[in-house]
Amino acid sequence: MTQLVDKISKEQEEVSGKYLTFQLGEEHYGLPILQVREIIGLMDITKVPRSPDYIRGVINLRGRIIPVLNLRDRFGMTSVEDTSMTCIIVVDVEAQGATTLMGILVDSVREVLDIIPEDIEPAPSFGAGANGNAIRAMAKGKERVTILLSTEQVVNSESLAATSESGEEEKKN
Amino acid sequence: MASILEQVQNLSAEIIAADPGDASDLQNLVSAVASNETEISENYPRLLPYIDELKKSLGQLESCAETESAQYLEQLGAIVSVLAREVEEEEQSEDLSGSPTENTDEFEFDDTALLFEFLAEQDENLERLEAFALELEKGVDDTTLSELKGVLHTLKGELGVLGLADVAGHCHELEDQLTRPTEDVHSEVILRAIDWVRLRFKAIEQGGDNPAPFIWESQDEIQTTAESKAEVAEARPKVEAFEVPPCFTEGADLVGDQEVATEFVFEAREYLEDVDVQLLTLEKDPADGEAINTIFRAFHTIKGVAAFLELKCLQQLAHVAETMLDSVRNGTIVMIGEPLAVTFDVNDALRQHFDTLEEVILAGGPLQPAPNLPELVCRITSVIRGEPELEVAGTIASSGTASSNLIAEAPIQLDIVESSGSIVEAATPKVSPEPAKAASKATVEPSSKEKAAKPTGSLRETIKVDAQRLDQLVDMIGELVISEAMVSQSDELDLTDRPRLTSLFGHMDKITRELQELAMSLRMVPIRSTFRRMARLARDVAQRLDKPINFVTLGENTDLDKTVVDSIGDPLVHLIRNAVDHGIENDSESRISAGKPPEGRIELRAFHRGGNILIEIEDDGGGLDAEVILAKARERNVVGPDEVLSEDEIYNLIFAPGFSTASTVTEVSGRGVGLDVVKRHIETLRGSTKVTSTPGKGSVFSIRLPLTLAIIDGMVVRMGTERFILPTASIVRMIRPHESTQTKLFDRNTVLSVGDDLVPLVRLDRTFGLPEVAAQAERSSAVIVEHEGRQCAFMVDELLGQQQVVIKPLGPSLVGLAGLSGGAIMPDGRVGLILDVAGLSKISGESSETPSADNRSALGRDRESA
Repeated sequence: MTQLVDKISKEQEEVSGKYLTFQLGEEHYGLPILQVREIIGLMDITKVPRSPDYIRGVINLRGRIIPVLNLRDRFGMTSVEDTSMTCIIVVDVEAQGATTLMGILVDSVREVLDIIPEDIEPAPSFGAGANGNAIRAMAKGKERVTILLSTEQVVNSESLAATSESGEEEKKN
Repeated sequence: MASILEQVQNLSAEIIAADPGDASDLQNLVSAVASNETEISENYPRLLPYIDELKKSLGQLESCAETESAQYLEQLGAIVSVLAREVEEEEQSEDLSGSPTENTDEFEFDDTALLFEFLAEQDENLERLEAFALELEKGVDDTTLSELKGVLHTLKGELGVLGLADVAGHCHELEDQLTRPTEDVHSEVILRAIDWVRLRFKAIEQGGDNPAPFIWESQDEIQTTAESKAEVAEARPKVEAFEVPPCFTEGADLVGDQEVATEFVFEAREYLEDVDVQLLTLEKDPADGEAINTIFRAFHTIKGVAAFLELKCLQQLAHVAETMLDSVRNGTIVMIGEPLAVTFDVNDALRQHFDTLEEVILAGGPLQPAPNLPELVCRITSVIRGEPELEVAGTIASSGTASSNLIAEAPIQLDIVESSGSIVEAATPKVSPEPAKAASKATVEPSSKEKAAKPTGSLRETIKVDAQRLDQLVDMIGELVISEAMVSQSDELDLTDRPRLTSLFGHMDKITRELQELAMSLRMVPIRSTFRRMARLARDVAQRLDKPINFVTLGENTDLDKTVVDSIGDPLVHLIRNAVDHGIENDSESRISAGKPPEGRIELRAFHRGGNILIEIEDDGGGLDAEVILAKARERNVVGPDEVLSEDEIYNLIFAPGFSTASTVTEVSGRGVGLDVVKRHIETLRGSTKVTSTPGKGSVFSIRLPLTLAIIDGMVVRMGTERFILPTASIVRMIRPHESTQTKLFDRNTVLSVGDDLVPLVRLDRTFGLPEVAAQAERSSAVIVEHEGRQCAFMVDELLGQQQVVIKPLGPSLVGLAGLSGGAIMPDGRVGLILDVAGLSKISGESSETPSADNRSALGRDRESA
């Protein structure tokens, strides 16, 4: 029993830290701040034909071409019009052994939250559907619950392929 | 004792300084030699033969005419330098066996900078020497010979000044070889000698071990020694089983720092590559001491780091392999047959193990050793336990070299490494000279103490920069150019009546432009080095096949992208081997009867043409036989029985995989793999291959390559609201299609008549699922592209103009998208996508069969949500 408690607290320890929080509609999400390279406003995005649906296109980030992922589409949420608050969070991702940059399009960026281990709850084992593996943990705050995301899982295209299929099923339910 | 070495060195300095015409100088020398000889012979009886030789030369020197004295003086210098080496070796071995000596340093440079400067220039010199040697092969002419000697002589002089007595002696010996009657000049020997000098320089430069002493022998001797050794090796018995340590079968967790482990993996891979190269050398020359040492070092380093990371299995494997190699170095095992095969396998096993290790580092989990390891270890141990070959042992004994002290040395140093568990390099065991060789002519090994003190890596006059950083620099400069354009052309900027600001902007514009050009040229290097390698290859192949070949290169200074220069080597190797083996006729009689010189001519040339680089290999052989090729192709069902092909098409069939018209597979070529590899290689470089041939006159293989992989000439086109870039290289022509030239097929496909041809018309907006914009017929154009000889027309809404763009990857998540080869930053700072013609013709074929898919948008944004 004590072992179990220990294990959870160790996990909590691992997940705790600073997160950049942002919103998709009314929902609050967080990405580990260490993986966030920068936040840029919406810019011209070049669409890429025949790319996966959740890829909004590519942008020129100071001479580098980086893909931009639409997080709403990634999670199978309803699309909304872009606003002046719409942002691209540029993150560092490990892919095939190399670090690459990727843009994540979100509705608006909130703040940097320091999340302490005590506030961390494990990700729900149900209810999130196939998007579940993108969730690292949940953080209870005074006003709201923030969903802490795993950057790798959000960006990882392999897990994405699986998600979009089962995501369809999820919606039917 | 050290004083003897000093004396000998002084003596050699005196000889270099002596004026052959001055009798008193000579007299001094004679007395100097005489004063040394007793001391040397007392201390080192083994060196007596050298002393005798020395005396003999001195006698000649005294008695000879004044005109000849220079020659004898040189001879004397060579003998003394050999003597110096021997003395030093003796002293070193004494040093190692425990007796204290003060000075084992082979040479001390007053000015290391001078040495490195000298070394930096030697590549060029050695290349020249090699070129001369190749020239000599075609026929010994006096001018070349004397030029060669001139270069060699200067080199020797400089070496003497720098105190590199052993190399100077080597050069001297080489010079001697060249003064012999011309029929005795073996270019093979010269080339080997040059290779040796190169290795020696490298050793000095990088502080590595010296190459094994060079043996002067004629070609016949080289062959006979190799053969006799082969016979000896075959007789070796196989030996009993070996107790397998548990680490070879059990998985182990990775302990230790991951970062260190990762670095280790990369480093080790480099070592293993090295080992491969060296093994190949050994295959040709089993007695190549330097190769064995390199392999030994690689395994040793791997062992050390593996021990540090507690990778028991790796450590053990490397250890047994090392033990075996040690026996090789002692001469108890000859690197032929099983020992060589085992080493190859060990190398492969290690490589495999590192792959697993990498996975473990990335993914975690226990490290599982490869299943074949126990067996491999058994094989190695049986090689080690194999009865020492009597014949080999005999040679060692007769050569009279005491190697026992050196044998004892290596294990001692290994123990140190094992107990400290640290990374090894500094403790790299000293090289034991090949006993059989040591007697003939030995080189001095610098002591490890000296090696450690030597400055390393300061030699290159070029700076090695991480390619990624270079790319970043180029990216940033590209961005600078764009920002500059955006600022200076901004509407908010009013430059009227502001002449000073206008000129400032003009200045800035010029600088950014120059910066951009500079950035582009950073990656360009001349193709020279690759061409020189080819010259050597052509010669080697020609010699193996016993065909006289005249190999000519043109355009060595043509600049092209570093990546291209690096990767063009492999295809060229295939093409040149082909040209020598198949291109040039097998016997000179048939050449003579065809009115050609008996010697085949192969020309390798590079030149610019229209924004491309053309590399051509031309031979004056029999040419390709179109009928034979076609018959073979029909036989293999590459071509249908009724298909009619143009001559060009037939010739290009030879690039098909597995296609070979050679009736016999020779050692060099004929398996039909080569040209297929060439073609695929060139295609990855965005180039194309072509062959033209005239029966009886020869054939030309041309490779067309882009100047750089980073930039393409593109035609910017608009489709709907999006811009795309089509590579100009693939565009045949552009037309404004008239309604009457379009023919509909099945209501959805269109065929365009262009001149006499009918070309399928592809609507790119449909293929890409772009929202269809009401076409403005007066602007829309058809761009006709060609891929693999087939034409295809793309319908675009507007042609926006031609532009050079820098190709950039779209990122790993978008890699491999059909129809796109990358992206480019457009002048307005946005991203334009570069179309891949090959991929497009493929997918447009698919989508025209399923037209219903057309309007389903493939673009994420337009996705309909539930």
